[in-house]
Amino acid sequence: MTVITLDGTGLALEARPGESLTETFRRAGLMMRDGCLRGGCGMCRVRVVSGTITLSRTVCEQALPLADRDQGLTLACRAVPTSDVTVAIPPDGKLRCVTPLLTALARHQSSLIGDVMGQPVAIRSGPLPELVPA
Amino acid sequence: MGVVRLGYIHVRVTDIEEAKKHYCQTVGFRLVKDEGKRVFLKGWDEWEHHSVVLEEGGIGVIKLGYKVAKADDLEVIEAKAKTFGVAMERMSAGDNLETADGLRITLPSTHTIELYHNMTVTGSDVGRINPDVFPRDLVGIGAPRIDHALLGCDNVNETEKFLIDVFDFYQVERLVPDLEHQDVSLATWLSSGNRGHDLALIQGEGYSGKLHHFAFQLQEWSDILHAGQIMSMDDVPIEMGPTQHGITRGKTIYYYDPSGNRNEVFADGYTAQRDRPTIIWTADHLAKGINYVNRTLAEAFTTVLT
Repeated sequence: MTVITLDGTGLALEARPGESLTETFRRAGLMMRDGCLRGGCGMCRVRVVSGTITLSRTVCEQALPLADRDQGLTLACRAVPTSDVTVAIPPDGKLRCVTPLLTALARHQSSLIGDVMGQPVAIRSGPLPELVPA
Repeated sequence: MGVVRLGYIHVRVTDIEEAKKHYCQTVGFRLVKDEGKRVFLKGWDEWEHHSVVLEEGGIGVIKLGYKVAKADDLEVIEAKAKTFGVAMERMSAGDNLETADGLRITLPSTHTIELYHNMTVTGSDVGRINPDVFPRDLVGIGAPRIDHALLGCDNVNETEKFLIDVFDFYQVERLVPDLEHQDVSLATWLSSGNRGHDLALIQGEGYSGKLHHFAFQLQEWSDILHAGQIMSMDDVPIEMGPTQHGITRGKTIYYYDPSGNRNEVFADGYTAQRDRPTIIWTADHLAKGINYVNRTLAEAFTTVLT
């Protein structure tokens, strides 16, 4: 099982095999700033703080320069975790909860992840829609 | 007669196999020539050899081909273009597959436009004699043909003047800052025949040379919904629609190809006429002009060009 920890939010999400970060976020009722969802526009940039990802498709230099990749930046729509990862979404990435029902479910699952792995995952309490200030 | 229509568009894609699958299985275009890293496609109702060229390596537009009615038109346009001092050259037969000689012009917006008057006619899928109204073996959306392109531009006024003066396009609609500045084009919709637009331009810093989208032509509102249904089946990311534009009154969906080039399926609004007074949209009504029904614009719509 692969776990995506969202840096600074205390939220950990279970990633399904082959799923992009964006797909995991959406399945957890979360949205962030994005555009083409094809790796072409570069709007869904996030930073991989720890762990490893692979790009599921060729991403062109125009959308994500190699120099940026070297600094840990990637595109959420094309990034697929290859290990447990911690991902930081920049403020202009506007991460927000749009479907509290799904986020609550994801929190429940992530609390189970902690049990299963024997390493409790910190879950921040508080109103769900305020997961991250817009 | 001058320019007749958008005849072909040549774009870059990051993965040729994925692009082929999308444009053939989802859009429903037919592969007419496969050179490995470059492929040539056409729609079922197009009679010339090809209309879409996909080339692997990056994203964005390489060039657009506009058909002119007569060989003489090339000389007329060449003479007019000289007065503008733009980069221009004659292209030879064979520079483009199955295409005769023509004229290659760099617009003030830096886009490459090729004017041609003769491409090999291979016929549409329904033929010319007592044709059926569509082929029985349509795939996916089954788009009959390409429609138009919207290009990015640092200075719309400059390039639209060129297109009107040299290509004899006329302006169907125009986006202006406000009613006190109706001579300032922030975007322009230009036609050569009776379509709402054959070529459009949108202004933005650093937009010159870039593609906002190119469109596939559909006939009706129900075709637009059908296209959306196919897109959902194939996990195609939709940016807007199905909806209607205020501008041109066309029915539309904006979506992205597998590389992130923006495409549109578009069904005509009204019939444009050369003497119809140009319709003006003020910038404060942009959202209504683009997305008449919902009146919202995705952030990417005016910020992402490839």
